[in-house]
Amino acid sequence: MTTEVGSETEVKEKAEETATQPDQPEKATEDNQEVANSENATAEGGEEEVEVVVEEEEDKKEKDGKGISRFLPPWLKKQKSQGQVVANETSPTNKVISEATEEEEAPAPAPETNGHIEEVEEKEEVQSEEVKQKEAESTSNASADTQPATEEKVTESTAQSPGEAKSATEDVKEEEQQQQQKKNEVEGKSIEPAATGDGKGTADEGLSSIFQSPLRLVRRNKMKLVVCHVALLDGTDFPCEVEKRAKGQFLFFKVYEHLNLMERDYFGLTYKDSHEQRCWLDPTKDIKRQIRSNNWQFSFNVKFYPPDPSLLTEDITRYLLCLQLREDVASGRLPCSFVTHALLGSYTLQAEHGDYEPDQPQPLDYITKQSFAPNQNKEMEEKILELHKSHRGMNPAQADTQFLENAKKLSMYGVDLHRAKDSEGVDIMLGVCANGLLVYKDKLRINRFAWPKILKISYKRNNYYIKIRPGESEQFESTVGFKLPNHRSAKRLWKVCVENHSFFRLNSPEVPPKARFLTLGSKFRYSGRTQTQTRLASSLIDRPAPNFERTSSKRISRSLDGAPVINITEAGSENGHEPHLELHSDSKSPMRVHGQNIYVRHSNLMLEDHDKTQEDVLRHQASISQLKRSFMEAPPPSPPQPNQWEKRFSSSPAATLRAQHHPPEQPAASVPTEVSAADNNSFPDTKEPGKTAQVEIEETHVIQEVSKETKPATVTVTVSPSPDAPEGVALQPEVREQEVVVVVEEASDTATRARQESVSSESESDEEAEYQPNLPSPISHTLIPEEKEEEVEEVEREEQGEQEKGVEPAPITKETAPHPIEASQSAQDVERENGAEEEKGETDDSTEDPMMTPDEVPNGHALPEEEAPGMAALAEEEEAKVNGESPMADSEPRPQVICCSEPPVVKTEMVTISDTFAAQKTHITTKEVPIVHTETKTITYEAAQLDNNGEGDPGVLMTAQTITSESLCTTTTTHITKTLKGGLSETRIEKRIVITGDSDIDHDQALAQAIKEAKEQHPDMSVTRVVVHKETELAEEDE
Amino acid sequence: MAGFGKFTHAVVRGIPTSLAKEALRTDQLDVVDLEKAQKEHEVYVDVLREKLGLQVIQLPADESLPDCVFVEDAAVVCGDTALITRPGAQSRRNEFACLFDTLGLLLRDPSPWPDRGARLLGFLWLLSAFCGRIATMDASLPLRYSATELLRLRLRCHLPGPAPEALHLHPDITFQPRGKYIHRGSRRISSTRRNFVYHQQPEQCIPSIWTPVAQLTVAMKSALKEMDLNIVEMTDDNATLDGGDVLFTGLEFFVGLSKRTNQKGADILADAFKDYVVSTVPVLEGLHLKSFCSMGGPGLIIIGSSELAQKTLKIMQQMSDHRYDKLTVPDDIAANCIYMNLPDKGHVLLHCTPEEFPESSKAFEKLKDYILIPVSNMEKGKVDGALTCCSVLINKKAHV
Repeated sequence: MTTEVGSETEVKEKAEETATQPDQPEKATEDNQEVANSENATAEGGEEEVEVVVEEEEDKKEKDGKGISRFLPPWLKKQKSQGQVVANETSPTNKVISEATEEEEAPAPAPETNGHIEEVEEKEEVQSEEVKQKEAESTSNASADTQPATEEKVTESTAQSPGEAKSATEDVKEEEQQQQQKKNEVEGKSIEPAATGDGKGTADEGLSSIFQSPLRLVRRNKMKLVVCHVALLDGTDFPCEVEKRAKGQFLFFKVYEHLNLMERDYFGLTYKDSHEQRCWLDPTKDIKRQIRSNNWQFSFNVKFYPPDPSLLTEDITRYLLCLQLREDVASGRLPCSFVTHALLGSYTLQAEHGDYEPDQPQPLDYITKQSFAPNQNKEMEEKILELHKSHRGMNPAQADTQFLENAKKLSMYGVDLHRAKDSEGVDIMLGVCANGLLVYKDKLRINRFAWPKILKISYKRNNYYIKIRPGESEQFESTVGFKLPNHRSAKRLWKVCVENHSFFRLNSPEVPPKARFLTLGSKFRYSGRTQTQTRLASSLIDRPAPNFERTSSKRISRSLDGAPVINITEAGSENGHEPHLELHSDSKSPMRVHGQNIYVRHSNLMLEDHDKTQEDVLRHQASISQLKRSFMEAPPPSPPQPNQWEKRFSSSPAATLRAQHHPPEQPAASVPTEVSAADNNSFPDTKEPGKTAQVEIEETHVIQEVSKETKPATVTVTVSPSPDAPEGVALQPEVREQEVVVVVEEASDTATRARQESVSSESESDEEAEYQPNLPSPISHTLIPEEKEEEVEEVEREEQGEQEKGVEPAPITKETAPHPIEASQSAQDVERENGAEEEKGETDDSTEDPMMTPDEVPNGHALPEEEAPGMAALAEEEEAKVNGESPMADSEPRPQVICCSEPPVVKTEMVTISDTFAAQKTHITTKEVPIVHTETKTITYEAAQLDNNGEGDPGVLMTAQTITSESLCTTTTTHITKTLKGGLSETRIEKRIVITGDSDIDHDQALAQAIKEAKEQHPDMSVTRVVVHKETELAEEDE
Repeated sequence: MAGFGKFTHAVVRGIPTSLAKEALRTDQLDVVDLEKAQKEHEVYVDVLREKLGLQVIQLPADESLPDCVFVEDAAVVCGDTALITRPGAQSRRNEFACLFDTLGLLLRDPSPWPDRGARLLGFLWLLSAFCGRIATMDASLPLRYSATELLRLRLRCHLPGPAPEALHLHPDITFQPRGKYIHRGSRRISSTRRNFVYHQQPEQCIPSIWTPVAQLTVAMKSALKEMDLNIVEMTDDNATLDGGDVLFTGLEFFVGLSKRTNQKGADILADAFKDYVVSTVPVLEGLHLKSFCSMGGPGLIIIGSSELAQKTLKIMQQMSDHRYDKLTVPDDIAANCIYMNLPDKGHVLLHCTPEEFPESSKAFEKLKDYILIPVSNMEKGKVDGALTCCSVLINKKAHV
């Protein structure tokens, strides 16, 4: 932190931002200091680093918020900030915090400035500031490499503060808590500015009305004027004068004005790049920089084909869509049968020529001039005429509507096809549409990935990857890769996917700023309105229907090849969930690492919904929340616990790897620490019964996120109440939420996600049965090596890439760690790498539901439980698990009950942990905490262990499904790990089956059924381990 | 899809006596009682004709085609377009039955002619067969007609009047515009003014030179052509497609890639029905896709409960942009039903009888507002024939 102080202005800015929330900053500063001190005290370098890293990441995420402000003229922003800074400078406490946050925030604006060189010119006043910022950036970048060191320094310096000397254990805990608080605060702060100060300008300009205020974009009159030629859909050419430096939206605006078009978001402008490829003009970027040539030729096309054109408000919009579709049909891009060709053609005639006139001279004449189909012939024309006669009396608007009704049913309506090869080199076509990604071979659809099923989209060079959420029909969370002809096409496809996903899948009518926030985060995000928004907006259109002339005459001569392909499918928006995808592109320039937007997106991804029906989810939630409530009511008396495991972790190879990475990229290895931090947040809860309620809420939310399709952001919000950083932080709405989410994600990345899902299911269950045929390696690290080498084109991408990188190393390190196999009685073998926390929570807090913790953790909210018992042993165990999780799963041929413990006291849960780590077994803590309402029982059946050289391969989360019947709800989460041992591949499947039901459930039978099913599903595998967690509501006494 | 399930015509075919012994089947356990089978089929046709009021076009059975009753495999009809398939049952083919097949075989499967010289000889023979029109037939090639017969066929068909029905439907004969017809086997064109007495007496009929597979479809084709449908033929020799692998949901097609159907065949289907999405689904076991599923109404898929069936259903659901309800029945084969939506009757479902599958037939009772008609399929089922296999349903609109 100290190193970065160099950029004062930035600091100030931050201070300003923080200043907006006066209460928080102070607390935060204190916290920070304390934290720093405590960190120093613990003196485990690894730990500290990790923590710091986390913070930074968060900050970056926060910065995403700023991303929105991109559209604000930079000078505006800066001036504001300066003024504020001055005011705030005096407050030292703020400074500290601001410094911490500064590092990351400062760079954020800079990249933008870099991106738009022109802007710099205009901002002469601000230049000095900018320079400073740039410097800051550079420093931050530089520091990225060395960061661990700097961070340590910072911590040391802060360590001097008085309160530091605490007992190690307590300190640690506090640290964690504080850290989390800090995080929250930081987040809150950073977010606030975006939301409040910057937010005003940005929100207005950038988001809501990109197209409405084009004039603003024109900066000064100095600029040269260029004549753009826009080919319109009716075949005419629309010349228009544009300043050379104008942004795309200026041209958009001009065209829309010319067309008198209100529902604009479905349309776009295309240009031909240097490789004769059609590209969409990005309204948020300068035209000149996009076309990269002096050929100012554009064509106006439909970009998003509305799945249901009848929902369009205005006839003129439908007319334009018709024109586009006619072109698509005539050019063969939209294939249809003879009959359909004839039908569409007849509607076209009706719309353009009116009723059939029998006495019209040579009626076939005008038909032949017009092109209806790629292989138009006499027969078809006759048929068209025949059908035309039957449309008598239809007015043009009706004919257009009919045309669209028929066209929208066509199989390729709205599908934007891209040539590609699959992993085996077979030629396929990738179709992007409103519903998702379609894979075609020849004319056959051979696969389909709906948006909800896609967790991440990325491309690297000419490879294009999508990560698939495991569904019912699939068993693996997998990444599918396609090869595109070249890098450009991969990028184009990626962009199209991003835009289509955003447009059709994200609808945030209730929380518009958020959606906008997300979409606007990076230059490569879709910057317009989503379909939902545009529908909303168009419903407000209040004007007399514009007059427009329908004619096809111009179109006849037009070449048809130019239209860009389209992407829409019918179902698109109906799903209505807002899934947030992870969009990955590769980044070339390491220098621009600051795009924090990426992080945000990650988080969104992580939280993505499961495909469950709402009812299911609700039911689950209800039952779960009730459970939790009962749990929470009993105040957990557990003392704080040192995070030794963190230390260990830091000392582990993973930690070193981590250190090497830029702080922002948090390696997966660091996840546990992050989690712990999160835990710290919740920490207070354990101590303070009053807060437990919050925890509850969190959990439920989490569950929602995980299992439901609810937006992650909202979920997180509730979750994140940081004990220390109080309500003020909490109050800050969406932005903050997102950030919180982000934090979690960053930490464990995809792994977390998978885990979250599993966790959530667990938490839901009253009874848990684990079936581990072969040790499932815990987490699904879907992050794939591909991304390691990322060439960054765009700042944001870089960030993503880094993140990914960071994640990758972690699993590796874990693998390297020797895993002794000991099937000692461990109640919970569940742990996946990330799951360490879970274990912790479970072991530590006997009182609380072990299951619950995991949920919280992923979300970044620490559960009180985790911290409750301070046990060094725990830390060890956790570590062990982290490293050796996979080993734990080893199979013993015959299942034996390893441990079944029921604490005598009221109702307690026994947790036993078996560690496979480095041949250390730790048993652990079973604390018996009086649980008022619940009983938790853990039984482990384990088969003899095979030698697992537990290369803890990242497990793959295969499935997570919930089946609900009247009395019972079963949630199954499956992780699959494939291990290569000396040429033999071993597959381990870990299934978590959560059976939730009324008291009258026959648990044994349910368990038996679950095991039976598992066996049936994998007949070729053997069950090596069964762990049963039983939670019963005592009231029912059915134990 | 509003018009889904509306049918006006049905094409069926008689059961040849050879069904019992020669039909292809996956398990040989049960003996087929031919009489019962024929009785069943009569009932089946009766239901279509009398109960449901469809116009039934019945093709005569062909003894050389034991499986000819299963007409579904020969054609896929959707809307006004009929795709004449190339059924993929290799064993149904009589590899050496006709010149064309011989030629095709020669080109793609040289095994009968192990060496180059032999292949060359084969070519020469074929050439002479074509060019000389009357080739000296080698006895070793199992051509079922003689040169004289062809000649007679050509010369004796000059009888006035419309062609008799038998001739009409003879698999080898197609009618051409302007009073010409083609005897597919002989490739001779003659005038229809003369009758083909020759074909009026089945015992005198020349054995077709077409392979049974071709015969299977040729008869179907001529029948469909009669109905003024757009006929699309699969000309690609590498493509195979059984109609039993094609599930049309009203909104899209699913094509099962089974032993009888390959990607190429599915591709041709996609080309024939451009308006619809055609998704492929692997069918790893079982005969056909429709051996364990069928449509039970608009947006309702009836599916068997086997793992295979369930898995396939999931794949279909994943591949589809639309949502489908499902009705799971305990027995896979019982999931093969015939759904119709008839103007005066509403939803009609032909399904298995309680005698065959007591549990499954109960499952259908869940369908409210349906007219449920149990149809026995016991005997045909023994030779892998399901309910849908025995008919091709056509919706022929009055207009257009």
